[in-house]
Amino acid sequence: MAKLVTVTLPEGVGNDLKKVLKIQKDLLGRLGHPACYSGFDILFRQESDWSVNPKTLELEQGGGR
Amino acid sequence: MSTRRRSSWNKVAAVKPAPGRQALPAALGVGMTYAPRLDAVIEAATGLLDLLEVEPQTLWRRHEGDTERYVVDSVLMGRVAALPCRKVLHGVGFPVGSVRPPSAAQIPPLLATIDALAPTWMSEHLAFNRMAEGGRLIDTGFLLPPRQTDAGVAGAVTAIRSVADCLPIPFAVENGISYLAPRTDEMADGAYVAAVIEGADCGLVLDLHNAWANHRNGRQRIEEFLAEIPLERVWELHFAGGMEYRGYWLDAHSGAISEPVIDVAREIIPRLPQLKALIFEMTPSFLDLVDESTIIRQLEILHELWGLRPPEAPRMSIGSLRRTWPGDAAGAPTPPQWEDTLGALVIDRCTSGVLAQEIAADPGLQIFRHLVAEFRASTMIGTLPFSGRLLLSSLGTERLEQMLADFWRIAPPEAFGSREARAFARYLATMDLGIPLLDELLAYDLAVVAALTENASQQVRFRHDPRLVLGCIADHRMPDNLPDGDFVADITPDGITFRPAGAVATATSIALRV
Repeated sequence: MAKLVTVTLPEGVGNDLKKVLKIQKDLLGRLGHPACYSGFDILFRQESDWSVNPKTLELEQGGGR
Repeated sequence: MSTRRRSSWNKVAAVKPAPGRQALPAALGVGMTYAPRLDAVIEAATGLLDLLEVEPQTLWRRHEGDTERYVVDSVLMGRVAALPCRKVLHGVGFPVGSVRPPSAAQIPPLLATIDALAPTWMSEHLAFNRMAEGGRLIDTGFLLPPRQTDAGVAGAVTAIRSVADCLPIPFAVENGISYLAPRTDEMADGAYVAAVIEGADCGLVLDLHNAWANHRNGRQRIEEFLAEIPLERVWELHFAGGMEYRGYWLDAHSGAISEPVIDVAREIIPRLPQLKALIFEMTPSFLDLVDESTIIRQLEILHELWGLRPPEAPRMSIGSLRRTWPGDAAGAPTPPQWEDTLGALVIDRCTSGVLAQEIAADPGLQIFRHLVAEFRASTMIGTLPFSGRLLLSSLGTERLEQMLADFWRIAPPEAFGSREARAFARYLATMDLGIPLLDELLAYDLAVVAALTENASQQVRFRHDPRLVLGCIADHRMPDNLPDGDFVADITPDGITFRPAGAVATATSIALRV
């Protein structure tokens, strides 16, 4: 039987996990047929607006086209 | 490791269809299109929403096997059913403008959806979204304009009746948008719509933004379009906002209703004796760019317009015109040729001939191609959110776009997001990209897709704390310098728990169906 282990949440992870939760919630609306199938889906374009700063290895908004 | 539970997702009982035409109900009022991402907006707008327009196929899941089969996500459906207003259905996956009737596989889940939501009527698009290739039908990734000839009308009438006669509620079609130039061998947009809905004896969802965008893009003038369609068959008006792109006005559903559309509505609403509903449409991915107050304001505008309706007239018994269609001129492109050629050009498949040359010379084709590409790329990043973001940040936009374009050349679009995600994941598995963390993030994304579409429970191993890895990606930060370890994400249809390998307890879990 596996041993019980207490998991300590690293600092700042709580907020990040809320963002994880939002991403997973948005996924629910993506698994079926796309909505507004004759419209314009800009999700990829929004995501590509983030780019990596090579000096800090952090993603910054506004770097995409 | 994967385990499967007995599916409970399709428990909603099918209702027995009542053939024939059904009477229209009393007026419903003002509403908007439903999407899970719009839950908060819908809650904030409760006092302004008389009804919701539900796109049924967005609540379905496509079975992963080769057999075409759809199941209703009954949890999601139950949530929609509980929303306290009337519903109408607006199909997005099985358009009725093709000479190839839409798949009968949609009928059982459609009846289940009708049973669950008790919608007042259903509508579908007067468009096509499949093409024949190598003896099979493949998806075109977008709703495309049908062939507007006598043969095209006859085919659409048959397609409409093939669906409408199976349903226990009234059926209507929506006028579409085309970015192509009008053709001299086709009837005008208004005459085509009129011939189809009179031939099929159905209602019309008049999308004013589509009609106005067609006008703006050089097709029929909207005044002429409105003069040609039978206004007494208009049950519902659609409103949306758009945007300019390469000289074309896109039916983008991007937010505030375009002003000229409101002006047209003021003119036409007093002439619509059977108008029952006004619907505001918005693509969910624009939600981050449009604030809630803007959406509320659009609904207020629709309530002002609602007051312009004429006194409700008794429904005229119109009946089918029972026309016969003589068919197209000899040598002219037939509707199947049109659908296969336009579809092939839009999704970059092999095609040739005079018609292909004519369509390829139309700059509007590039608009369709651009919109399909954006849809497919957005589906990838939306269904594989963590691995997709990692790819984007590791490869950059241009290189990822090139990879996607290479993939699309060998893989036609999959209409359902879960299948598109899996197809791209299979493609990725053939490549050696050398991107750290990609394998475990892709496994994680696919496991969540499987949990939500197939009721499958899975474990995914991580070499670093998955809360840190996923949290960094969610926060648009690159995971870096993470301590090594051995971790597990337990993914079930209900939620995800994160724990060190070997532990049974966890301090961290997230619900999947919130």
